[in-house]
Amino acid sequence: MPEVKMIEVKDVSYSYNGKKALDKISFETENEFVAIMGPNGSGKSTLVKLIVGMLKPDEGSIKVFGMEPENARDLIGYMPQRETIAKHFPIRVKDIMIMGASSRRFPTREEMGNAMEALQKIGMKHLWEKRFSALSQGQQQRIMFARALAKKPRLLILDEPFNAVDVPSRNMMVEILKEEREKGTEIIVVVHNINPILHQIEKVVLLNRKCIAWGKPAHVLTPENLKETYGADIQIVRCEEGYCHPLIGDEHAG
Amino acid sequence: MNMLDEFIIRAIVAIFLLAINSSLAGSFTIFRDVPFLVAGSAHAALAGAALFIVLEGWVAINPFLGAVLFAILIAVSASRAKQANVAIGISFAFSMSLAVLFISLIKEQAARVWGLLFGDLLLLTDRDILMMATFTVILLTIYLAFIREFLFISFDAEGAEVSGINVAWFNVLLLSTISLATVVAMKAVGAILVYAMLMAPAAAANRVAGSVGRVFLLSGIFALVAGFLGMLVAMILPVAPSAVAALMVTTIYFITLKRRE
Repeated sequence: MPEVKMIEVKDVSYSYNGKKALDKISFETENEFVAIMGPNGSGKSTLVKLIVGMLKPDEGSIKVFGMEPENARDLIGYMPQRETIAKHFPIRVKDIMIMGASSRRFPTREEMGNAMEALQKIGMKHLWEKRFSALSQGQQQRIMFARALAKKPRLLILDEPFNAVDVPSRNMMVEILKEEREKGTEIIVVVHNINPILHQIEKVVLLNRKCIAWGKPAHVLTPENLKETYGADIQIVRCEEGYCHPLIGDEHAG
Repeated sequence: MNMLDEFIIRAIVAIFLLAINSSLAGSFTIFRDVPFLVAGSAHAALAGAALFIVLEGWVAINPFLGAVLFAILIAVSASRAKQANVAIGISFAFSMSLAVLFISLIKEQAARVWGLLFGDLLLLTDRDILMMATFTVILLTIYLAFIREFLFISFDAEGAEVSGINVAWFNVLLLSTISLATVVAMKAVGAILVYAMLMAPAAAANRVAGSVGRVFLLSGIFALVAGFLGMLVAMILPVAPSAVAALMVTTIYFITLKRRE
């Protein structure tokens, strides 16, 4: 029996007030670590919102594990962009972690354990009782990352997870993603700068309102595709391990 | 028990009910970041009450229900807008225009509507208290039942949606409870001061409390203390108790501004 596709996007279009944000996007992935990459305003976050069922396509269809996106939500651990999170009231880290780990008002002992374990994994267990708003931006990002992990999802979807995160913490997050992938978790990461995860990803979707290219990074990240996506010549550097790094946004993180 | 005692007992009960509404609806107004919803709902309620007084000429209808209906309509319009505070501001202007229009149609009864602007803690009737208590119990039940959903959509609406929470529906429900609490509190302190009594205790508590639970607790305590002090002062001096209480809670808020984040 063929394996169920993780994501199947077929001819998907979406507009905001008549302005096309995505135009006839098609790609599919199966049990992989996938990066969605493109410039600002290229429709990356819109695509993610369609995949998790927050938006409905104007045209085309999306299936997640063979289901309508809203029916697959129990299988998804989601980390939104940090700009969408409220930081003006004293919600505590533990409240946020439990929100992610449990859909019940009174979480089970196992769910509490999962929340604590995820926090420990990112080295922030000591912040369990802390006010979220009292943490640095980077710490807040890591808490949201841990919340997505706490659900022990089959599919992790992370929207710009490395924003405002310092390099050591980012490397720790990448290491955790690598471990999750080894355990079989399927991962989609939206990134402006692909370099921190380039050695881990198996597929990349290059997006600028339409799907410029998708497939293995070595095949997709070519000067021609990058120029079409970003509208400028992007320099590519080959690292010691043989990966081709497009110099977008910041440094080659190795 | 003489009549004065009865009015004082009713005022004490009203202060407790006001504190519960301030604790829950006031705190969620801050968490959901819709500070003008209280002011908008209060003025929409005026328009609703005025309309129902106009309609009294044809049907027996309680103006309080008109106030509730219009306040909930403003909550619904705010919940549907991307910029909730802009929608609230426009609805505020729209409902005040309606209120003035309706009041001009019922000149001989206009005093009843204007009475809603100021309220009077010491002149509440048994019927007023029963109405306030009934709606407060309904609101308390809704908050207890859906506190997780309300907190989740206030903190992270996208995450809540992906977790399977119907964000649009819970947003309407949450904003409607805030509007309803505003109408309940208006009975005691009027449309002008209800903003101070619902918002200021929660805003002050939000600045000093270390957790969501403590915001609920502290805002209730601030409203309770201010309410009782207002009543005590009004029993000694010829001043309006709600004005003294509102001055107290706003002063508490200004004091908390001195605290560093």
